[in-house]
Amino acid sequence: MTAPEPDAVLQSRRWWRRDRPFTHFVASDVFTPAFSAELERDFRALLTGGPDKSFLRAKSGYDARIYPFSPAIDGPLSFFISRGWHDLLASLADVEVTDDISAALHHHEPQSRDGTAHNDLNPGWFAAPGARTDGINCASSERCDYKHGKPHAPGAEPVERIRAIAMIYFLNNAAWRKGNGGECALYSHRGAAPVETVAPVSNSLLMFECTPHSYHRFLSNRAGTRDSVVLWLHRRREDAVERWGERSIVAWSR
Amino acid sequence: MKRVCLLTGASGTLGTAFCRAHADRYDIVAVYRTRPPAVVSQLQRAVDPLEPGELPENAHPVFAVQADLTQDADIARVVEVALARFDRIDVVIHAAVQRTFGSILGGSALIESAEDQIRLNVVVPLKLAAVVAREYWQRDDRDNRAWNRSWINVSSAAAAHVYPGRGQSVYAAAKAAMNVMTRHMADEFRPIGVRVNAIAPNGFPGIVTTSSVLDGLRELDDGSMTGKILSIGRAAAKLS
Repeated sequence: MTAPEPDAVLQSRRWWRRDRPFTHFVASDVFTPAFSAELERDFRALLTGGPDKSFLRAKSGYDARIYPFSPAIDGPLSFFISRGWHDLLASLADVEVTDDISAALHHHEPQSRDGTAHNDLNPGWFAAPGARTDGINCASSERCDYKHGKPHAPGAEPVERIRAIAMIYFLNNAAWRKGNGGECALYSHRGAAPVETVAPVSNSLLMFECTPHSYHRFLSNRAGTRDSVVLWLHRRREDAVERWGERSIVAWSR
Repeated sequence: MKRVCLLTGASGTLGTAFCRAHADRYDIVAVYRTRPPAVVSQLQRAVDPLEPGELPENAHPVFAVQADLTQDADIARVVEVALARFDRIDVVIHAAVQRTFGSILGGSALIESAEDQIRLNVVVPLKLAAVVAREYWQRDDRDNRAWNRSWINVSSAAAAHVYPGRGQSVYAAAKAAMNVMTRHMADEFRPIGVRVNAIAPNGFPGIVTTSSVLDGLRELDDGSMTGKILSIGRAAAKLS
Protein backbone atom coordinates (compact mmCIF):
# COMPACT_ATOMS: atom_id res chain seq x y z
CA MET A 1 0.00 0.00 0.00
CA THR A 2 1.35 3.43 -0.97
CA ALA A 3 0.97 6.11 1.68
CA PRO A 4 -1.19 9.04 0.57
CA GLU A 5 0.27 12.47 0.05
CA PRO A 6 -0.41 14.88 2.93
CA ASP A 7 -2.60 17.18 0.85
CA ALA A 8 -4.95 14.26 0.17
CA VAL A 9 -5.62 13.51 3.82
CA LEU A 10 -5.10 16.74 5.75
CA GLN A 11 -8.26 18.32 7.08
CA SER A 12 -7.00 21.41 8.90
CA ARG A 13 -4.88 23.89 7.00
CA ARG A 14 -4.60 26.05 10.09
CA TRP A 15 -2.10 24.91 12.66
CA TRP A 16 -0.83 27.05 15.50
CA ARG A 17 2.78 27.98 16.09
CA ARG A 18 3.51 28.94 19.69
CA ASP A 19 6.82 30.11 21.06
CA ARG A 20 6.38 29.64 24.79
CA PRO A 21 7.93 27.87 26.59
CA PHE A 22 9.70 26.81 23.40
CA THR A 23 8.61 26.83 19.79
CA HIS A 24 6.01 24.18 19.11
CA PHE A 25 3.09 23.52 16.81
CA VAL A 26 -0.35 22.26 17.72
CA ALA A 27 -3.22 21.32 15.46
CA SER A 28 -6.65 19.82 15.84
CA ASP A 29 -8.80 18.05 13.26
CA VAL A 30 -5.53 17.18 11.59
CA PHE A 31 -6.79 14.57 9.13
CA THR A 32 -10.03 14.06 7.27
CA PRO A 33 -12.61 12.05 9.23
CA ALA A 34 -12.21 9.14 6.86
CA PHE A 35 -8.42 8.97 7.17
CA SER A 36 -8.36 9.52 10.93
CA ALA A 37 -10.87 6.65 11.22
CA GLU A 38 -8.57 4.45 9.12
CA LEU A 39 -5.65 5.31 11.39
CA GLU A 40 -7.68 4.40 14.48
CA ARG A 41 -8.83 1.10 12.97
CA ASP A 42 -5.23 0.26 12.12
CA PHE A 43 -4.11 1.22 15.63
CA ARG A 44 -6.80 -0.83 17.34
CA ALA A 45 -6.03 -3.86 15.20
CA LEU A 46 -2.41 -3.77 16.29
CA LEU A 47 -3.25 -3.02 19.92
CA THR A 48 -5.70 -5.87 20.26
CA GLY A 49 -3.55 -8.50 18.69
CA GLY A 50 -1.72 -7.69 15.54
CA PRO A 51 0.22 -10.39 13.74
CA ASP A 52 3.28 -9.97 15.94
CA LYS A 53 1.61 -8.63 19.12
CA SER A 54 4.67 -6.58 19.84
CA PHE A 55 3.45 -3.79 22.09
CA LEU A 56 6.31 -3.84 24.57
CA ARG A 57 6.53 -2.44 28.07
CA ALA A 58 8.67 0.72 27.92
CA LYS A 59 11.75 1.02 30.06
CA SER A 60 13.25 3.81 32.15
CA GLY A 61 10.18 5.03 33.98
CA TYR A 62 7.92 5.69 31.00
CA ASP A 63 4.68 3.97 31.94
CA ALA A 64 3.44 2.86 28.53
CA ARG A 65 3.44 0.00 26.09
CA ILE A 66 5.11 0.69 22.78
CA TYR A 67 4.84 -0.75 19.29
CA PRO A 68 7.85 0.32 17.21
CA PHE A 69 7.34 0.85 13.50
CA SER A 70 9.43 -1.29 11.21
CA PRO A 71 10.50 -0.20 7.72
CA ALA A 72 8.03 -2.73 6.33
CA ILE A 73 4.99 -1.37 8.15
CA ASP A 74 2.00 -1.29 5.84
CA GLY A 75 -1.48 0.16 6.00
CA PRO A 76 -2.67 3.67 6.91
CA LEU A 77 -0.22 4.12 9.80
CA SER A 78 2.68 3.88 7.35
CA PHE A 79 1.73 7.43 6.37
CA PHE A 80 3.68 8.69 9.38
CA ILE A 81 6.98 7.44 7.95
CA SER A 82 6.23 8.54 4.39
CA ARG A 83 8.36 11.00 2.47
CA GLY A 84 5.50 13.47 2.24
CA TRP A 85 4.89 13.61 6.00
CA HIS A 86 8.62 13.72 6.77
CA ASP A 87 9.13 16.68 4.44
CA LEU A 88 6.04 18.50 5.70
CA LEU A 89 7.19 18.37 9.33
CA ALA A 90 10.74 19.39 8.48
CA SER A 91 9.60 22.28 6.33
CA LEU A 92 7.13 23.57 8.88
CA ALA A 93 9.65 23.42 11.73
CA ASP A 94 12.33 24.85 9.42
CA VAL A 95 14.86 22.30 10.60
CA GLU A 96 17.50 20.64 8.43
CA VAL A 97 17.03 16.94 8.96
CA THR A 98 18.28 13.66 7.59
CA ASP A 99 15.98 11.02 6.10
CA ASP A 100 16.00 9.00 9.32
CA ILE A 101 12.78 8.40 11.26
CA SER A 102 11.99 6.54 14.44
CA ALA A 103 8.28 6.02 15.05
CA ALA A 104 6.11 3.99 17.39
CA LEU A 105 2.60 3.57 18.72
CA HIS A 106 2.23 4.38 22.42
CA HIS A 107 -0.51 3.02 24.67
CA HIS A 108 -1.08 4.18 28.22
CA GLU A 109 -3.42 2.23 30.45
CA PRO A 110 -5.60 4.37 32.76
CA GLN A 111 -3.75 5.68 35.81
CA SER A 112 -0.37 5.44 34.12
CA ARG A 113 2.29 7.23 36.13
CA ASP A 114 3.55 10.71 35.35
CA GLY A 115 6.61 10.79 33.14
CA THR A 116 9.73 12.74 33.99
CA ALA A 117 10.60 15.99 32.24
CA HIS A 118 13.08 15.50 29.42
CA ASN A 119 14.06 17.32 26.26
CA ASP A 120 14.39 14.49 23.68
CA LEU A 121 17.82 15.71 22.58
CA ASN A 122 18.98 12.11 22.42
CA PRO A 123 20.97 10.05 19.95
CA GLY A 124 19.39 7.59 17.55
CA TRP A 125 21.30 5.05 15.48
CA PHE A 126 20.39 4.00 11.96
CA ALA A 127 21.84 1.41 9.64
CA ALA A 128 22.17 2.83 6.16
CA PRO A 129 20.98 2.49 3.52
CA GLY A 130 17.28 2.28 4.28
CA ALA A 131 15.03 -0.31 2.74
CA ARG A 132 12.29 2.01 1.50
CA THR A 133 11.92 3.23 -2.05
CA ASP A 134 11.09 6.79 -1.00
CA GLY A 135 14.49 7.13 0.70
CA ILE A 136 13.07 7.36 4.21
CA ASN A 137 15.19 5.33 6.60
CA CYS A 138 13.00 3.95 9.36
CA ALA A 139 14.73 2.72 12.48
CA SER A 140 14.89 -1.06 12.57
CA SER A 141 15.90 -3.12 15.58
CA GLU A 142 16.61 -5.99 13.18
CA ARG A 143 19.48 -3.98 11.72
CA CYS A 144 20.86 -2.07 14.70
CA ASP A 145 20.07 -0.96 18.21
CA TYR A 146 18.45 2.47 18.07
CA LYS A 147 19.83 3.77 21.37
CA HIS A 148 23.41 2.52 21.27
CA GLY A 149 24.15 1.54 17.69
CA LYS A 150 25.02 -2.09 18.19
CA PRO A 151 24.70 -3.79 14.76
CA HIS A 152 22.20 -6.62 14.58
CA ALA A 153 22.63 -7.65 10.97
CA PRO A 154 25.61 -8.51 8.78
CA GLY A 155 26.85 -5.52 6.84
CA ALA A 156 24.93 -3.00 8.90
CA GLU A 157 26.99 0.15 9.41
CA PRO A 158 25.14 2.14 12.06
CA VAL A 159 25.31 5.93 11.90
CA GLU A 160 24.58 8.09 14.90
CA ARG A 161 21.99 10.84 14.50
CA ILE A 162 20.39 13.19 17.02
CA ARG A 163 16.67 13.66 17.45
CA ALA A 164 15.61 16.87 15.72
CA ILE A 165 11.82 17.01 15.64
CA ALA A 166 9.35 15.26 17.91
CA MET A 167 5.72 14.70 16.92
CA ILE A 168 2.86 13.24 18.92
CA TYR A 169 -0.39 12.48 17.12
CA PHE A 170 -3.27 11.53 19.42
CA LEU A 171 -5.83 8.98 18.30
CA ASN A 172 -8.26 6.37 19.58
CA ASN A 173 -8.91 8.37 22.78
CA ALA A 174 -12.32 8.94 24.34
CA ALA A 175 -13.70 12.48 24.41
CA TRP A 176 -11.33 14.43 26.63
CA ARG A 177 -12.44 16.67 29.50
CA LYS A 178 -10.43 18.82 31.82
CA GLY A 179 -9.35 16.65 34.74
CA ASN A 180 -8.99 13.50 32.64
CA GLY A 181 -5.23 13.95 32.47
CA GLY A 182 -2.98 12.39 29.85
CA GLU A 183 -1.73 15.73 28.60
CA CYS A 184 1.75 16.45 27.38
CA ALA A 185 3.06 19.23 29.62
CA LEU A 186 5.60 21.74 28.30
CA TYR A 187 8.15 23.40 30.58
CA SER A 188 10.58 26.30 30.36
CA HIS A 189 13.07 24.29 32.40
CA ARG A 190 13.24 21.17 34.48
CA GLY A 191 11.45 21.58 37.81
CA ALA A 192 9.30 24.47 36.65
CA ALA A 193 5.53 24.58 36.56
CA PRO A 194 4.10 23.69 33.15
CA VAL A 195 3.66 26.64 30.84
CA GLU A 196 1.24 24.74 28.65
CA THR A 197 -0.47 21.37 28.62
CA VAL A 198 -1.58 19.76 25.37
CA ALA A 199 -4.62 17.56 25.78
CA PRO A 200 -4.68 14.12 24.11
CA VAL A 201 -7.66 14.92 21.93
CA SER A 202 -8.06 12.43 19.12
CA ASN A 203 -6.97 13.65 15.68
CA SER A 204 -4.81 16.41 17.14
CA LEU A 205 -1.05 16.71 17.25
CA LEU A 206 1.88 18.39 18.92
CA MET A 207 5.23 18.94 17.21
CA PHE A 208 8.42 20.67 18.29
CA GLU A 209 12.10 20.90 17.56
CA CYS A 210 14.24 18.96 20.02
CA THR A 211 16.61 21.40 21.70
CA PRO A 212 18.30 21.62 25.09
CA HIS A 213 15.23 23.57 26.23
CA SER A 214 12.34 21.48 24.92
CA TYR A 215 11.36 20.01 28.29
CA HIS A 216 8.12 18.08 28.30
CA ARG A 217 6.56 15.11 29.99
CA PHE A 218 3.51 12.86 30.08
CA LEU A 219 0.95 13.65 32.77
CA SER A 220 -0.94 10.77 34.31
CA ASN A 221 -4.17 9.85 32.53
CA ARG A 222 -6.65 9.62 35.35
CA ALA A 223 -9.57 8.62 33.13
CA GLY A 224 -9.39 6.35 30.12
CA THR A 225 -6.56 5.05 28.02
CA ARG A 226 -4.27 7.43 26.14
CA ASP A 227 -3.07 6.42 22.70
CA SER A 228 -0.74 8.17 20.31
CA VAL A 229 1.68 7.90 17.46
CA VAL A 230 5.08 9.26 18.43
CA LEU A 231 7.86 9.91 15.96
CA TRP A 232 11.17 11.66 15.71
CA LEU A 233 13.00 13.08 12.72
CA HIS A 234 16.76 13.37 13.13
CA ARG A 235 19.66 15.66 12.33
CA ARG A 236 23.35 15.00 11.83
CA ARG A 237 25.24 14.68 15.07
CA GLU A 238 27.81 17.25 14.05
CA ASP A 239 25.06 19.79 13.40
CA ALA A 240 23.67 19.35 16.90
CA VAL A 241 27.14 19.56 18.46
CA GLU A 242 28.02 22.66 16.47
CA ARG A 243 24.81 24.36 17.56
CA TRP A 244 24.60 23.39 21.23
CA GLY A 245 27.84 21.67 22.17
CA GLU A 246 28.81 18.10 22.90
CA ARG A 247 27.52 18.17 26.46
CA SER A 248 24.01 19.11 25.36
CA ILE A 249 23.45 15.66 23.86
CA VAL A 250 21.62 13.47 26.36
CA ALA A 251 23.09 9.99 26.07
CA TRP A 252 20.95 6.95 26.86
CA SER A 253 21.72 5.14 30.07
CA ARG A 254 22.87 1.57 29.59
CA MET B 1 -6.81 54.23 13.61
CA LYS B 2 -8.13 51.14 15.33
CA ARG B 3 -10.16 51.48 18.49
CA VAL B 4 -8.60 49.86 21.53
CA CYS B 5 -10.83 47.23 23.11
CA LEU B 6 -10.21 45.64 26.47
CA LEU B 7 -12.09 42.34 26.26
CA THR B 8 -12.60 40.04 29.24
CA GLY B 9 -13.61 36.42 28.74
CA ALA B 10 -11.62 36.38 25.54
CA SER B 11 -11.33 32.60 25.29
CA GLY B 12 -15.08 32.05 25.62
CA THR B 13 -17.45 31.54 22.72
CA LEU B 14 -18.30 35.21 22.33
CA GLY B 15 -14.82 36.47 23.14
CA THR B 16 -13.17 34.22 20.59
CA ALA B 17 -15.77 35.11 17.95
CA PHE B 18 -15.25 38.80 18.64
CA CYS B 19 -11.49 38.47 18.22
CA ARG B 20 -11.88 36.56 14.96
CA ALA B 21 -14.43 38.97 13.54
CA HIS B 22 -13.00 42.29 14.68
CA ALA B 23 -9.25 42.06 15.15
CA ASP B 24 -8.87 44.16 12.02
CA ARG B 25 -11.07 46.89 13.50
CA TYR B 26 -9.91 46.91 17.12
CA ASP B 27 -6.60 46.57 18.88
CA ILE B 28 -7.83 43.96 21.32
CA VAL B 29 -6.45 43.34 24.79
CA ALA B 30 -7.79 39.80 25.13
CA VAL B 31 -8.01 38.90 28.82
CA TYR B 32 -8.30 35.21 29.61
CA ARG B 33 -8.10 33.20 32.82
CA THR B 34 -6.81 29.75 31.88
CA ARG B 35 -6.48 28.99 28.18
CA PRO B 36 -5.48 31.67 25.66
CA PRO B 37 -8.13 32.40 23.04
CA ALA B 38 -7.77 30.31 19.89
CA VAL B 39 -6.92 33.31 17.77
CA VAL B 40 -3.79 34.95 16.44
CA SER B 41 -1.96 36.72 19.24
CA GLN B 42 1.54 37.44 20.47
CA LEU B 43 1.39 33.91 21.89
CA GLN B 44 0.54 32.06 18.70
CA ARG B 45 0.18 32.56 15.00
CA ALA B 46 -1.47 30.52 12.32
CA VAL B 47 0.52 28.43 9.88
CA ASP B 48 -0.47 26.41 6.86
CA PRO B 49 1.28 23.04 7.12
CA LEU B 50 1.29 22.65 3.35
CA GLU B 51 2.51 26.15 2.57
CA PRO B 52 4.61 27.44 5.46
CA GLY B 53 4.92 31.19 5.33
CA GLU B 54 3.12 34.23 6.56
CA LEU B 55 -0.67 34.17 6.37
CA PRO B 56 -2.84 37.28 5.97
CA GLU B 57 -4.75 36.45 9.15
CA ASN B 58 -1.57 36.95 11.18
CA ALA B 59 -1.64 40.66 10.35
CA HIS B 60 -3.99 41.47 13.22
CA PRO B 61 -2.87 39.70 16.39
CA VAL B 62 -4.70 40.34 19.61
CA PHE B 63 -2.71 41.10 22.73
CA ALA B 64 -3.48 38.21 25.06
CA VAL B 65 -3.21 38.81 28.81
CA GLN B 66 -3.70 36.11 31.42
CA ALA B 67 -5.43 37.35 34.53
CA ASP B 68 -7.69 36.25 37.35
CA LEU B 69 -10.05 39.19 37.53
CA THR B 70 -11.32 38.16 40.91
CA GLN B 71 -7.95 39.36 42.21
CA ASP B 72 -7.61 43.12 42.65
CA ALA B 73 -3.94 43.02 41.71
CA ASP B 74 -4.76 41.37 38.39
CA ILE B 75 -7.39 44.00 37.60
CA ALA B 76 -4.81 46.72 38.16
CA ARG B 77 -2.24 44.84 36.08
CA VAL B 78 -4.62 44.33 33.16
CA VAL B 79 -5.36 48.03 32.95
CA GLU B 80 -1.71 48.92 33.34
CA VAL B 81 -0.53 46.63 30.54
CA ALA B 82 -3.39 47.69 28.25
CA LEU B 83 -2.42 51.33 28.61
CA ALA B 84 1.28 50.53 28.35
CA ARG B 85 0.68 48.58 25.14
CA PHE B 86 -1.80 50.87 23.37
CA ASP B 87 -1.90 54.17 25.30
CA ARG B 88 -5.71 54.19 25.17
CA ILE B 89 -8.77 52.17 26.13
CA ASP B 90 -11.73 53.05 23.92
CA VAL B 91 -14.16 50.32 24.80
CA VAL B 92 -14.35 47.64 27.47
CA ILE B 93 -16.41 44.54 26.78
CA HIS B 94 -16.94 42.51 29.92
CA ALA B 95 -17.68 39.06 28.52
CA ALA B 96 -16.12 36.97 31.26
CA VAL B 97 -18.64 34.56 32.67
CA GLN B 98 -18.88 32.21 35.61
CA ARG B 99 -21.96 30.12 35.12
CA THR B 100 -23.28 27.31 37.27
CA PHE B 101 -26.79 26.04 36.72
CA GLY B 102 -28.52 23.84 39.26
CA SER B 103 -31.44 23.36 41.56
CA ILE B 104 -31.67 25.38 44.74
CA LEU B 105 -33.00 22.28 46.46
CA GLY B 106 -30.87 19.76 44.65
CA GLY B 107 -27.47 19.97 46.28
CA SER B 108 -24.67 22.26 47.22
CA ALA B 109 -22.99 23.03 43.89
CA LEU B 110 -25.28 25.94 43.06
CA ILE B 111 -25.09 27.41 46.54
CA GLU B 112 -21.32 27.14 46.62
CA SER B 113 -21.04 28.89 43.25
CA ALA B 114 -23.30 31.79 44.14
CA GLU B 115 -20.71 34.20 45.43
CA ASP B 116 -18.35 33.53 42.53
CA GLN B 117 -21.13 34.10 39.99
CA ILE B 118 -22.17 37.36 41.56
CA ARG B 119 -18.56 38.44 41.96
CA LEU B 120 -17.73 38.01 38.27
CA ASN B 121 -20.96 39.57 37.02
CA VAL B 122 -21.19 42.52 39.39
CA VAL B 123 -18.13 43.08 41.56
CA VAL B 124 -15.51 42.50 38.87
CA PRO B 125 -16.99 44.95 36.34
CA LEU B 126 -17.48 47.44 39.15
CA LYS B 127 -13.83 47.23 40.20
CA LEU B 128 -12.47 47.07 36.66
CA ALA B 129 -14.51 50.08 35.57
CA ALA B 130 -13.32 52.05 38.57
CA VAL B 131 -9.69 51.30 37.74
CA VAL B 132 -10.08 52.11 34.04
CA ALA B 133 -11.76 55.39 34.96
CA ARG B 134 -9.20 56.29 37.58
CA GLU B 135 -6.20 55.40 35.42
CA TYR B 136 -7.44 56.81 32.12
CA TRP B 137 -11.03 57.89 31.48
CA GLN B 138 -11.17 60.54 34.19
CA ARG B 139 -8.38 62.50 32.52
CA ASP B 140 -10.38 64.09 29.71
CA ASP B 141 -14.15 63.83 29.21
CA ARG B 142 -13.94 65.68 25.88
CA ASP B 143 -11.46 63.17 24.55
CA ASN B 144 -13.74 60.36 25.70
CA ARG B 145 -16.68 61.87 23.82
CA ALA B 146 -14.58 62.50 20.74
CA TRP B 147 -13.60 58.83 20.74
CA ASN B 148 -17.13 57.73 21.65
CA ARG B 149 -15.71 55.64 24.48
CA SER B 150 -17.94 53.07 26.06
CA TRP B 151 -18.35 50.09 28.33
CA ILE B 152 -20.43 47.05 27.41
CA ASN B 153 -21.48 44.37 29.88
CA VAL B 154 -22.48 41.02 28.45
CA SER B 155 -25.68 40.15 30.27
CA SER B 156 -28.35 37.60 29.41
CA ALA B 157 -32.00 37.25 28.54
CA ALA B 158 -32.19 35.22 31.75
CA ALA B 159 -31.88 38.47 33.70
CA ALA B 160 -35.47 39.37 32.79
CA HIS B 161 -37.11 35.98 32.29
CA VAL B 162 -37.58 32.83 34.27
CA TYR B 163 -36.94 29.77 32.10
CA PRO B 164 -38.52 27.02 34.20
CA GLY B 165 -36.44 24.00 35.02
CA ARG B 166 -33.14 25.42 33.81
CA GLY B 167 -31.62 25.99 37.23
CA GLN B 168 -30.66 29.53 36.34
CA SER B 169 -31.58 31.19 39.64
CA VAL B 170 -28.19 32.49 40.66
CA TYR B 171 -27.02 33.12 37.11
CA ALA B 172 -30.17 35.09 36.34
CA ALA B 173 -29.94 37.03 39.57
CA ALA B 174 -26.33 37.89 38.87
CA LYS B 175 -27.21 39.09 35.36
CA ALA B 176 -30.16 41.09 36.70
CA ALA B 177 -27.80 42.74 39.14
CA MET B 178 -25.41 43.37 36.27
CA ASN B 179 -28.20 45.17 34.40
CA VAL B 180 -28.90 47.40 37.38
CA MET B 181 -25.19 48.05 37.78
CA THR B 182 -25.02 48.94 34.09
CA ARG B 183 -27.67 51.64 34.47
CA HIS B 184 -25.94 53.09 37.51
CA MET B 185 -22.59 53.04 35.76
CA ALA B 186 -24.19 54.83 32.82
CA ASP B 187 -25.44 57.51 35.16
CA GLU B 188 -22.13 57.97 36.92
CA PHE B 189 -19.92 57.77 33.80
CA ARG B 190 -22.01 60.25 31.81
CA PRO B 191 -20.11 63.26 33.23
CA ILE B 192 -16.77 61.81 32.14
CA GLY B 193 -18.10 61.20 28.63
CA VAL B 194 -18.20 57.41 28.69
CA ARG B 195 -21.30 55.50 27.66
CA VAL B 196 -22.28 52.30 29.50
CA ASN B 197 -24.61 49.67 28.07
CA ALA B 198 -25.30 45.96 28.25
CA ILE B 199 -26.23 43.32 25.74
CA ALA B 200 -28.69 40.64 26.82
CA PRO B 201 -28.73 37.78 24.34
CA ASN B 202 -30.70 34.61 24.52
CA GLY B 203 -28.66 31.39 24.40
CA PHE B 204 -25.95 31.38 21.77
CA PRO B 205 -25.04 29.70 19.60
CA GLY B 206 -28.37 27.96 19.38
CA ILE B 207 -31.40 30.07 20.09
CA VAL B 208 -29.65 33.07 18.58
CA THR B 209 -26.50 33.12 16.48
CA THR B 210 -23.18 34.30 17.79
CA SER B 211 -22.96 36.67 14.83
CA SER B 212 -26.18 38.38 15.93
CA VAL B 213 -24.59 39.00 19.32
CA LEU B 214 -21.51 40.40 17.59
CA ASP B 215 -23.77 42.70 15.60
CA GLY B 216 -25.33 43.88 18.84
CA LEU B 217 -21.92 44.68 20.29
CA ARG B 218 -21.11 46.73 17.20
CA GLU B 219 -24.43 48.55 17.50
CA LEU B 220 -23.73 49.47 21.11
CA ASP B 221 -20.15 50.52 20.45
CA ASP B 222 -20.91 52.52 17.33
CA GLY B 223 -24.06 54.19 18.68
CA SER B 224 -24.70 57.08 21.02
CA MET B 225 -26.97 55.36 23.54
CA THR B 226 -26.15 54.93 27.18
CA GLY B 227 -27.89 53.00 29.94
CA LYS B 228 -29.42 50.65 27.38
CA ILE B 229 -29.93 46.90 27.86
CA LEU B 230 -30.01 45.58 24.31
CA SER B 231 -31.96 42.35 23.98
CA ILE B 232 -30.92 39.86 21.32
CA GLY B 233 -33.48 37.23 20.41
CA ARG B 234 -35.63 37.49 23.47
CA ALA B 235 -37.69 34.34 23.68
CA ALA B 236 -41.38 34.32 24.49
CA ALA B 237 -40.77 32.78 27.86
CA LYS B 238 -43.28 32.33 30.58
CA LEU B 239 -42.77 34.52 33.58
CA SER B 240 -43.51 32.68 36.72
